[in-house]
Amino acid sequence: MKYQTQKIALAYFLTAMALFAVQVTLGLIMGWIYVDGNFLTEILPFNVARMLHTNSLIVWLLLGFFGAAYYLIPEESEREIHSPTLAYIQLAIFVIGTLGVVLTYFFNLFEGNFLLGREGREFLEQPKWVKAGIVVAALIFLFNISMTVLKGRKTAITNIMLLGLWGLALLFLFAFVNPSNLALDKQYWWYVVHLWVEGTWELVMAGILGFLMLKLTGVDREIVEKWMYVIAALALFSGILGTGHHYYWIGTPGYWQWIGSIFSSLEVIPFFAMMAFAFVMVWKGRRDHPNKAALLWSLGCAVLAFFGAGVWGFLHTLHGVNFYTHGTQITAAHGHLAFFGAYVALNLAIISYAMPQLRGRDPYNQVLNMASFWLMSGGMLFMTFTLTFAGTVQTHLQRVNGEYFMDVQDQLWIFYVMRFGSGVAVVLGALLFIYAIVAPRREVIKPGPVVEQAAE
Amino acid sequence: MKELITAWLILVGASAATTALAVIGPETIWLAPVLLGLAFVKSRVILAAYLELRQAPRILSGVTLAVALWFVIAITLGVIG
Amino acid sequence: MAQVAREELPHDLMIWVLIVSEMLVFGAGLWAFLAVRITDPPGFAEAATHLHPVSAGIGTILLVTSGLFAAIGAQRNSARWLLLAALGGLAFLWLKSHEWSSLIAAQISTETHPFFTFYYLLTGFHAAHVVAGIVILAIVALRRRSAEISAGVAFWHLVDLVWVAVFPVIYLMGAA
Ligand code: HEM
Ligand code: HEM
Ligand SMILES: [Fe+2]
Repeated sequence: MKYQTQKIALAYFLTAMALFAVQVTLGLIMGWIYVDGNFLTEILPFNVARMLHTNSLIVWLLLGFFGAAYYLIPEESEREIHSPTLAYIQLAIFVIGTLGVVLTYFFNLFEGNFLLGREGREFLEQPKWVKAGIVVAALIFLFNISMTVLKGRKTAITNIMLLGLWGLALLFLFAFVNPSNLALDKQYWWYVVHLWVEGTWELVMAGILGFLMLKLTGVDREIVEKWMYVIAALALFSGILGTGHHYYWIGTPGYWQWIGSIFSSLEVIPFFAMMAFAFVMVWKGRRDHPNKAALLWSLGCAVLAFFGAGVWGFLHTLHGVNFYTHGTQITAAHGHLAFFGAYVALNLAIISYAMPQLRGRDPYNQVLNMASFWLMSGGMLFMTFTLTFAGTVQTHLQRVNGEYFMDVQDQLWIFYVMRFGSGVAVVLGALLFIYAIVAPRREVIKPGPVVEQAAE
Repeated sequence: MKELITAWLILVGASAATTALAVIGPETIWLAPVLLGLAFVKSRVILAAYLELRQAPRILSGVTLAVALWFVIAITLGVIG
Repeated sequence: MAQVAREELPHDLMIWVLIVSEMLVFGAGLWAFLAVRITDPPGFAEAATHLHPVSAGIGTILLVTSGLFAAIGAQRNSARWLLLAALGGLAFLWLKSHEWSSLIAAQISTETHPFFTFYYLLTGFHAAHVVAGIVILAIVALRRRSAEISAGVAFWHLVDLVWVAVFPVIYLMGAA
């Protein structure tokens, strides 16, 4: 760690990890509700658990991104963060908002209230006051990092990160646009949801991955930057009109079927490029960085993002296919592997890289961390496969044969049991990861012969 | 300069020929392949002369191959339809 | 050992990323058009009679000629030639707007027939690129920086390149 204010990232990462634990645990609870429909119906209804699962996912991923920005921007722009106080205020706003959200959902407080009650749209259920808080916090964040970058060195990494983060915050404003016409409502809703994960977040991903490759492999900055610009351009070119793949059946004109199919098919390319980038950098790299876990997560991120977003996305993105699979377990399979591969693994990579430095020690317990990678990723992959099978069966019975939804669900029970099993692996992996980066103060397992190498 | 003018002459000639052919509209299965074949010639001229890929012959031949493949499939679809 | 000659790519790498991406989009769109056409050849042939191949042919000649002007403008770093190229684009747009307005007057919309869904989509997308290209040409002509001119003119050639495929597939295959 070269700059004092990089320490801010520590608070962000720790909060993110706490929410990560909550998020996957709630997933597991829901996984059991799928097996036994009466589980916790009174205390924690499925819809509430689902809101908490998805919202805490988004919040902790965002906190991770903020932490990553606070960590890497000082190093890139070669100066301290403009105002650490503002950064902590921003975090406090997020924590208060999150607590507010949890209480509001859990007890269903202020139902129907314009300002205080929960809103009904997936991922954007937060009450308006929390949304406003998010905007304020985002503004503080943008001000803080923009000031830092403006006064310091500008690199491809800071440029692309800033573009992604500004876009992310501006698009969130569409969360306030909620027309009563359901088709329009959905249209705007996807401006946030799709243009986040398949637009601006991808830029953040390119930025963080670029930074990690630069540090871990020691490849020339020039080469890394060229890749990053190409990836960012491809992501925006395909992702913006790729939104059309959500406009097939919501009442928008028919030409969206072609715009959506064509552009979203191209969305596979930036994810492929990201994977190629990571491997080419490692292959070209001269540096043997001691933080093997961070490298494993980085490569895992690139590969799993390609499969989750690229392959599983393409699987149901052509409108001829989506006509049958829309909203089935295929979607859930894709949603899980895409989010996990692209953004969960990305955060865990930068956290694995930054944590030892933030806490001023060597990267201990690589083995535990790497074991958590295999446990979590293995669990996630298995969950993806079971849900894909479930989705295929569901598509056939429900959409082709025309059986009733609940009758079909009964026939999928065995898949849901297996999904629960894989969920257990994911949760254990997550807890192991958190333990490995937070707890140990010394090497648990004897290290092999040490290779003396300059490391950053 | 001379290269550009030559390119332009080919482009205009091919465009005029394409249009004339389509307007006359002879009843033959060869019409679609000929129309698209002329389009292929034009795209290759634009790539080589206008976009200056002639300076980079290896890249030009790679791109030409890809474009040719595109036209082969387009012609196949056109003939079936 | 064989010396692998490193070829210099004309124009900036990023403009090539854009060119290839656009070729993929239009290429996929035209393939889709031809594939859907197989499901209803008479319907497509009938729909195509509403278009005017000759006027589209004139548009094609306008575009490739404007491409020549742009190329000359880039070679000579000349604002005049570049603006002339932009003028060619404007003429093309004028033709296009006539074509669309007569179709719209005949109550033909994107939903009339799949032919017209693709027709409006592909010609509309292309025309949007013509508009963007005109703006870009005007800007680079006024600023007169050779790297920018090179990129702007490359974009203009892309607009030609795409049209050269759109023209026969949409306007002429109906007769075939
Ligand atoms: C880091 C890991 C995880 C991520 C990134 C994640 C992400 C998501 C996302 C994005 C959704 C919404 C999906 C959609 O709208 O289609 C969702 C729903 C869900 N997740 Fe997870 N999740 C994770 C872990 C888990 C675990 C461990 C389980 C336990 C088995 C689980 C079970 C579920 C269930 C049951 C739903 C509701 C699906 C439905 O409504 O039918 N998740 N998750
Ligand atoms: C990291 C990037 C991505 C993430 C995190 C992601 C996540 C998700 C999630 C959570 C959903 C469910 C939304 C809902 O209805 O609640 C979804 C839907 C969808 N995604 Fe993605 N996705 C990503 C990239 C892609 C890509 C690259 C493609 C296409 C190639 C794609 C194609 C689709 C399609 C077609 C749907 C709609 C499914 C349906 O009709 O039910 N996604 N995605
Ligand atoms: Fe999407």
